[in-house]
Amino acid sequence: MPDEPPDAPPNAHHNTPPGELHVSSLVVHCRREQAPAIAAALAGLDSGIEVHGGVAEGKLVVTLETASQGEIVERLNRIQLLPGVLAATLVFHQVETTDSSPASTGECKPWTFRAEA
Amino acid sequence: MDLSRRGMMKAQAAAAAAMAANVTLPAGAQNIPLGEELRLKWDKAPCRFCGTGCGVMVGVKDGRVVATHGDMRAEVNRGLNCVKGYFLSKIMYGSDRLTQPMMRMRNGRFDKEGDLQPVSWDQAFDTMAAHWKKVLKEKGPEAVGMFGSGQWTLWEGYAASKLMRAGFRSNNLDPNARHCMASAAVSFIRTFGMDEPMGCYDDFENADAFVLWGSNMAEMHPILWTRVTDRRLSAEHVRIHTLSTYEHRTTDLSDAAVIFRPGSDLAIMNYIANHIIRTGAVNREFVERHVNFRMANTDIGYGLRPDNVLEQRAQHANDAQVSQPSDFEAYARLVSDYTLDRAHELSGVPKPQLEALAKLYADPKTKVMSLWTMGFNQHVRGVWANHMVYNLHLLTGKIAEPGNSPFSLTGQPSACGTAREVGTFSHRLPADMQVANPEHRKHAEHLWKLPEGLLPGKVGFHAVEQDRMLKDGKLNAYWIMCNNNLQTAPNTNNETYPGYRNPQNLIVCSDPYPTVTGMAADIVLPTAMWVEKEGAYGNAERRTHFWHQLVNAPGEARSDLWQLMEFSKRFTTDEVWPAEILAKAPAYRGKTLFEVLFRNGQVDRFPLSDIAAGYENRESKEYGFYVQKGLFEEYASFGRGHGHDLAPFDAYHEARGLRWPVVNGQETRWRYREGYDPYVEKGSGLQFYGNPDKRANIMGAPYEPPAEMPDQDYDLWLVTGRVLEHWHSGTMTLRVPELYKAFPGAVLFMHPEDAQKRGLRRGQEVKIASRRGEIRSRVETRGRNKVPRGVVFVPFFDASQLINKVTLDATDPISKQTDFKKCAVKVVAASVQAAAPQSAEPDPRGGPR
Amino acid sequence: MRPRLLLGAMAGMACLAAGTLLAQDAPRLRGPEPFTVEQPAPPMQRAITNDVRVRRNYPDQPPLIPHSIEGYALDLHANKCMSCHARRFTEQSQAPMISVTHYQDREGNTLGGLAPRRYSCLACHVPQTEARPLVENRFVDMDALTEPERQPGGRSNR
Repeated sequence: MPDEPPDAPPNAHHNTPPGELHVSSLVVHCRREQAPAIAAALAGLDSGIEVHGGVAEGKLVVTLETASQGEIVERLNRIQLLPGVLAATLVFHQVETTDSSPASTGECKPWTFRAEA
Repeated sequence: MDLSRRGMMKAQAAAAAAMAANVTLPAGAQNIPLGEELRLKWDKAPCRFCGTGCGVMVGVKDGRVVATHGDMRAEVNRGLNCVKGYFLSKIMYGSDRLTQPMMRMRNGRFDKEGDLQPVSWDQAFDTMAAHWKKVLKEKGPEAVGMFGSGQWTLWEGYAASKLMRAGFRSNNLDPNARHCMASAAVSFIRTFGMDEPMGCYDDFENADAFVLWGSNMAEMHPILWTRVTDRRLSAEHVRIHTLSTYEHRTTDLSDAAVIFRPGSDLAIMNYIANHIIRTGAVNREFVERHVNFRMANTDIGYGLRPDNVLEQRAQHANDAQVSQPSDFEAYARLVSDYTLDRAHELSGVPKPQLEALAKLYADPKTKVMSLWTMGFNQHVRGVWANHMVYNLHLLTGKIAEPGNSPFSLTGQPSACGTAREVGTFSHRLPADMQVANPEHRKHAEHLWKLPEGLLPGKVGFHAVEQDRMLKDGKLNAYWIMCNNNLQTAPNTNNETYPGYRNPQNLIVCSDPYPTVTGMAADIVLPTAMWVEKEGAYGNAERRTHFWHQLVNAPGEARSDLWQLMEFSKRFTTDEVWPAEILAKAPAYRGKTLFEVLFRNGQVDRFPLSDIAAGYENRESKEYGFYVQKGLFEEYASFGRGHGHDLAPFDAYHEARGLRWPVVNGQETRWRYREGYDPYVEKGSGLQFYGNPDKRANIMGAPYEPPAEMPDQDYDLWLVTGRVLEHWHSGTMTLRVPELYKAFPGAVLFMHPEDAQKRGLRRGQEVKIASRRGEIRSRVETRGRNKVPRGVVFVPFFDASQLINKVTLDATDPISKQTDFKKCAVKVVAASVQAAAPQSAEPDPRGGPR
Repeated sequence: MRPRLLLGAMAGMACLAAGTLLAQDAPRLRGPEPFTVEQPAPPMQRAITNDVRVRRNYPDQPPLIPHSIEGYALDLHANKCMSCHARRFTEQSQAPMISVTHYQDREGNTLGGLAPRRYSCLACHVPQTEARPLVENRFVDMDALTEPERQPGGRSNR
C-alpha cells in the first residue's frame, strides 16, 4: 500500500487537474494456466496495480490507482496486450480530489462531435 | 486523503470487479487494510421502473441500501442504467414513508367522513373484512373489486388473482397495465393466439432499420435506446425512422422524424401495406404458408359510457371485437384506398418521408425492427394499430428471426410478467387462458385443487369500467394496490374521484407513500417496496428476473403479498362460496380462504430451509413455509408443457433472468422459428403454434377518426405522457432530490407561435381546459419536446397539475385501454395577476429541462 | 363531499412522517386538497449554472451537470457535451473527462473514443434547478456507516 499517490507518467500534467486520485477495477480474463504468471506480471507492471484474486478462475480482479483517467486507459491497453490475456474489462471507476482546490471552469469552444467507433 | 479512505475505495472497486467476474475474493488475499466494517453486501435485482428490465447491483450496509449500479452481467443493460435506475438507492428513503395503517376515523371508530388516523393492522383488516362481507352478502361477488399493477411481483399478482377469482368469486380484478399495454396484449392473442413478442432484445444488434411508432425511447426506454443508437452509430447502413405527433429527444437522434396528425398512423400503415402489395413486395410463399386474412368489424365506437351519443351512433360498439374470415384479395382492396396522396392528406406527412418508410418495409434485404409503446397502445384504435404493424411484417415475412421483429415495449417492470403471464386482467387466467372459457376455468380449478364450478365465467370490470361502477354504486368494496389511479386514470374529476367518495363504497389503498389516491381513500395500508421483499418481474422480452429481500421495510409496512394472504384469513368458505359448490368439496367447509388457497398442500410445500442462506424473508418466516417458491411453482404448473415453460424457482435466483419458454434449461430468444423455438415441429421452418392451424392473422381495418378532435371552442390537441426523470405519477422519483430538481414540475409544451397567438410567454401561468375540466400549468416553448402548431404536451407526474382532470375516458373498444394521447383542449392565461413574473423569471440560459 | 380532510389527514401523517413535508409542497406529491379544487401552478425553477461539482451519493452515480445545457445539440451530427468533456478538449475546457467506462462497448472492448452506447449523455447525466426538495430523503451515505466520525452530523445526502 503506497502512502503517496503513484507517480504520474511524464505527460500526465498536461491534462490532469492537480490532486486527483482515480481508483478503478478491472476483470482480466486470461488463460487459466497462465493466470498465476499474469498475476505476477501485473503486480510488477506498476506501483498502482494490485491483484486481489480470481487466479484460480482465470478471471483476475485487479485495482488501479492512478492520477488521471488517461492513465487508466493506457494501463488497460497495456494489460490487454500481455500474452495470455483474453480481455480486460473495466468494471468500476471512482475519482476523488485529494486537495481542496476548486475545479476551474474553462471556456467551452463549440465543436461538433461525430461518433467514431 | 487518508489511508482508510483510499483503502475503502479500492475495496469497493475490487468487490465490484469480483462481483462482475463471479469470483469470490478470499478475505486473506485482499492486500488492503480493510476492516469488516468497510464491506458492502452486493446482490442483483431488476430495476423497479420501466418494462426494460435492467439488471442492477444493490449494495447493502447495516440493513440499508447505500449504493446501486448497472449490473455488468445483465444481458439487458450490460452495466448501464438510466438516471432513474442510478438513483434507485434513494427511492425507499423519502421521509414521508408510510409506516402504519391509516383509517378515516371519527369518535374512535371508522367514519368515511372522518380524518385519516393511525390504526393497527387488525383494526384496518377488521373494518375491511366487515365491509367486504356485507357487500358480498347483500350484492354478491360483482360488487367487490381490486385494482392491481404491472409493478406487483409475480407472486403478488398470482395471490391476488387466486383471492379474487377463487376466494371472492369475482373477476373484478384488473391491473393498471390496462392503461398501458392492453391493446398490445389483445392484439398478440388475436394475431398469434399467444401473448408477448416472438423476438427479443437481441434484435437490436441485428436490425438494419428501426421504425418507432409512437415511442419516445430516448426518454421512456433509455437503456434500450442505447442499444438502438449503438447499432445506428456502429453500422453505417442502419437507419432510424421515428413516427410521432411531436419532436423529442428520440427524433433528435433519428434519420427521419415523421410527424403525423394524431390518429393518422392507421392511414400510414395501410398505405405502407398498399405499397408493399402494389410493388410486388409481398412474400407470397410466407403468406401462403403462414398467414390467414380476416376483416375487423368497423365503426366500433370509443369505449365511452353506453349512453354517450358516440356509442349510440356507432354500428358495432357492442361487437367491436368480432372479425370475419377473409382473403388476400379483399385485404388488398381495403388497403388500395390508402394511396400515397390519401395517406399524405390524412397524416400531413411529406410524401417523400412516407415513401422512404414504405420502401424500408418493402425491401426484402432490410431487416426491420418496429418498436412501439403508448402512442399505439393508448389509442382508441390501439388494437387495430397493433394489427396493422403485424400486417406489414407478415406480408413481407419479416418476423420471428434475428433483426426482423415487430416489438411491443412495455411501460411497467412486470407488465408482461404479472399483468399478462400471471393473468391479472379481468378476462384472463395464467398462461394466456381466459375466464370466459369453461375448459380453461376447469383446468385452473383442477390445478388449484378447488371444487368444479367455483371460478366465475363472467369477465369482470376493466379499469375504466371499475371507476364508472364505483361512481354508479355498483362496485362497493375496492382495494387499490401498487398504483396511483386517481392521478393516472382519465377524466378523474368526473369519473374516478366521485366513486372513491361515494358513501356506499369502502376504498382501500396500499402504497409505500401517501399519494393522491391514498389521500382520497378510506384506509391506507403501508407497503414494503422493491428489495424490501423477495420478488420477481417479467420484462418486455419475456425475461423472468428474481431478487431476494435485501433490507426490511420501515415500521409496520408489509408487502402486498402479506397483506393479501393475511386478509384471506378473515374469510371462511361458508361465508363466500355458495352451498352447492361447497357440497362438492365438504372437506373445505369452515376452512379459511388462507387454508384453501395458500395452505393447500402445494403453495406450502417448500420448507424455510430452501431460502438461500443470508437472506431475510418476512412473509415466509411468518407463515412457516417458503411462500414465494410455493406460489411460483404452483403458478408455473399452468404454463409448463404449453409454450410458457418457466425454469425451476431456484434457477432464477442465479441467472440474470431467463426468457421463456425455458425448455431443458435453455431460454428461447426467437419464438415460432425452427432452430430457436423447441415448440416448432422439425422441418416446418416456422409455426405460429398459438393458433390451432399454426398460422398468424392479418387483420384488415380502416382508418377511423379519434373520439374527439380540436374544433372552434377547444382548438388544440392534448397529448400526455412521461419525462425521463420521473416514472409514472412520480411517487418514487419525486422523493429523490436529484430527480426532482432535474425536472421539478410539469409544464405545458407549446409551439412558440401558438403561445404568441394567445398572448402567452414562456413561464406564464395558464389554464388548460377541456369539456371535462381544467388545470393550471406553465407555458414552455423550448426544451426537450418540440410540438407542432396545434398540439400541446403535458406530462402527468405532477400531482399539483393533474392533467387527467382534463383527459377523456375514451378507450379502445376492444382492449378497453384508455387513449391518453388525443383529446381537445384550449389554453388561456390563468389571470392577469398570475401572469406577472413569479419569484424569478426563468433563467434564459437554463430553464427547466 | 369530504369535509376537514386536509388538516386531519396531515396531522395524522405528521405523527408518522415527523413533519418533513411542508404544506405548500404537498400538492406536488399528494394533489390538491380536496381533490376537486383547482391548484395554482408552482413557478418554473431557475437552472443551477454555478459549475460547482456535486458530490455523488455513491461511486457509481453519474455526476450531475452543474451548468446550463440550453440549446445543446445532441443529434446524429453533433454532440455538444463532447466539445468539452472529450479527452482531447479537457485541457482547454478544464471540464472533467468522460469516465473511462465510456470507452467500452457492450462487449467490454476498449475503444479509441466515446462508445456509441454512451452517446446519449442526458439519459444518465441531468442538470439541476434551484427547486427545494419536496421531502427530506433519508438515504445514508456509505461513508456515514463505515466512518461515522468523518461525517458532519453523521448523515448526508450530498
